[in-house]
Amino acid sequence: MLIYHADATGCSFDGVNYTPDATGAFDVPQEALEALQCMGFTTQAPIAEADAVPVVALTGNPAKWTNDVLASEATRLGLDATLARPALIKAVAEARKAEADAACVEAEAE
Amino acid sequence: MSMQETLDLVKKALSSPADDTIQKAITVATGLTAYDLQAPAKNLYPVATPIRNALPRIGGGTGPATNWKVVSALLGSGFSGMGWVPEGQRSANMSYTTSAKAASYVTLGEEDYVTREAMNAGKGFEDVKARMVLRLLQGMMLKEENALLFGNASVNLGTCPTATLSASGSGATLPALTYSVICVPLTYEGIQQQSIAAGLVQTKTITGMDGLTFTLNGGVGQASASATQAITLGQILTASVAPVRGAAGYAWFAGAVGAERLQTITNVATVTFSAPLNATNQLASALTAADYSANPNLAFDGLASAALNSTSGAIWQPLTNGALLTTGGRGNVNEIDNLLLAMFNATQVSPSVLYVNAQQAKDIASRVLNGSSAPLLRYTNDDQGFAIVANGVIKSYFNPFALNGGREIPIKIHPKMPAGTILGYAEDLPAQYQSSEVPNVAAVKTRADYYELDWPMRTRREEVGVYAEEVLAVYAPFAIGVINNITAG
Repeated sequence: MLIYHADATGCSFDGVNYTPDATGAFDVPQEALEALQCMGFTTQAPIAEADAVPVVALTGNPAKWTNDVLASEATRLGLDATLARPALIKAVAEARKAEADAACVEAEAE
Repeated sequence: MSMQETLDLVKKALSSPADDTIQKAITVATGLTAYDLQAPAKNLYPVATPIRNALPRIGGGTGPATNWKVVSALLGSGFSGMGWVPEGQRSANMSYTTSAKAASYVTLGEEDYVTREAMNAGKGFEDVKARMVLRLLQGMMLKEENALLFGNASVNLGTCPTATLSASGSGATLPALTYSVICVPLTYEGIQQQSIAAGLVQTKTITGMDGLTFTLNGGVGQASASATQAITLGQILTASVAPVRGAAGYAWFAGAVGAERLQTITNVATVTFSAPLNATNQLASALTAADYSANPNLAFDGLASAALNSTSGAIWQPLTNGALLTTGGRGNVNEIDNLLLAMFNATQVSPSVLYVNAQQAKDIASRVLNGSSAPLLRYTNDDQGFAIVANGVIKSYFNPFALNGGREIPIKIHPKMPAGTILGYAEDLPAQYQSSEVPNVAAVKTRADYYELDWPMRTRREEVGVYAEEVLAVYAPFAIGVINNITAG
């Protein structure tokens, strides 16, 4: 299986050494996963900085957003972006509030 | 000499500068002082033996071992859980799971002597021999405490798994090299005997006061195979092994291939190296390739070993390498909950006490008294201002997994409990173990309880031994649960 690490250049499991391929993936046996996860390896390829989408914090009233931004946020929230603008604004606002509330509950739990 | 000549000499002497010797006074520094020695000697060492104090001691033992029979399960006839029988007919027979158990008596002992000169020189200060015997008994009890908790007759750690390694990170000063890492597991008994400076002592041959010798294994498992990893300057070398059942610690040898030296001993199965390694400590090649975990013919199993024996039925929950205790956000610790739940599901038993290292006592308090559980606390004050006592301790833990509403379990620090371990121990079985004939889950069964031997004089010194012939009989090892491999923090 392929695993990844932010900056590791090598690992060893059960006496066998592994190095990353050109994509940065380590091809290790399945049973190595648990031990290597404790060392920061993951099954998800890290996103290269060049490929990362800049995160823009959306604040304020959705009613003041452009249609493109509103549609994008609606899609992220799993809403129907084809709704009429007033309905979409209301749906996005409610979904964002629910998301924020859920985040607060998680933070308190931690 | 005439009277006049004498007077002249006296006048001359009195008029000349004084002689030093005549003028010198006696001071404290001169040393002509009494010696205010407080008697007797002050014994400033701890003798903490809570397990020994708490365990019942049952005499009357005889023969080489104490034996008992166990009925561990009732198996209903037919469908085990269905009791339906037609009118006028009889049920089939139920059956049982039984087994025979035995625990061999072993001898614990300690000796000391005092010379005639020391006895005479100590007169008026303390009764040297009597005080020696007192200390001998205390020393013996400390050894017995270790035995009752960690004695190991049956848990063989075997060969340590090969280490998993990685090279990552930045900012370290570990020189570039292909490093080899070898890991050696240590038992609960062993980790207290081993040190980095002296190196691992796999066996020790002891010459008794009778001149005869015997050999004890040092609680050291067999070293792992070598694993290697190339490191470039700046990288951190991380090593880990799968936690070994019965291990309380891990000795790590690292260095160039074939030159691995003892670097550190950890309570968890993982370690990082970020600085240049020690180049003078014990070499891994100095170890004999064998398992020296247990002393099967000389020791009995203490509580931890009785639980960590793979056939015990006890719950052992090692944390994932690097894992801390975690809070569930409601004033609880998830890992303790998991242990209690597993013990109830397996055997309907709840620990009556949790023994922890001081580090884990701190960590439990940190998890329970954190920000999210703060609303659970209340303090009251009058209108005269307030003075708050900072900090707190979790002195007991409520186990919700028990019949009839749960059980409060005291959390007690044990000074010998290795860091990274929580041991839950049910001193008694719950009420649903009806007619168990086990008033205590474990007891010290003695064939000959503490006895002092004043050996016949053979030199001008008085030799004394304190011995006990006993065994820890653990009737319900499943009533013990262990969480270990807990990272501090």
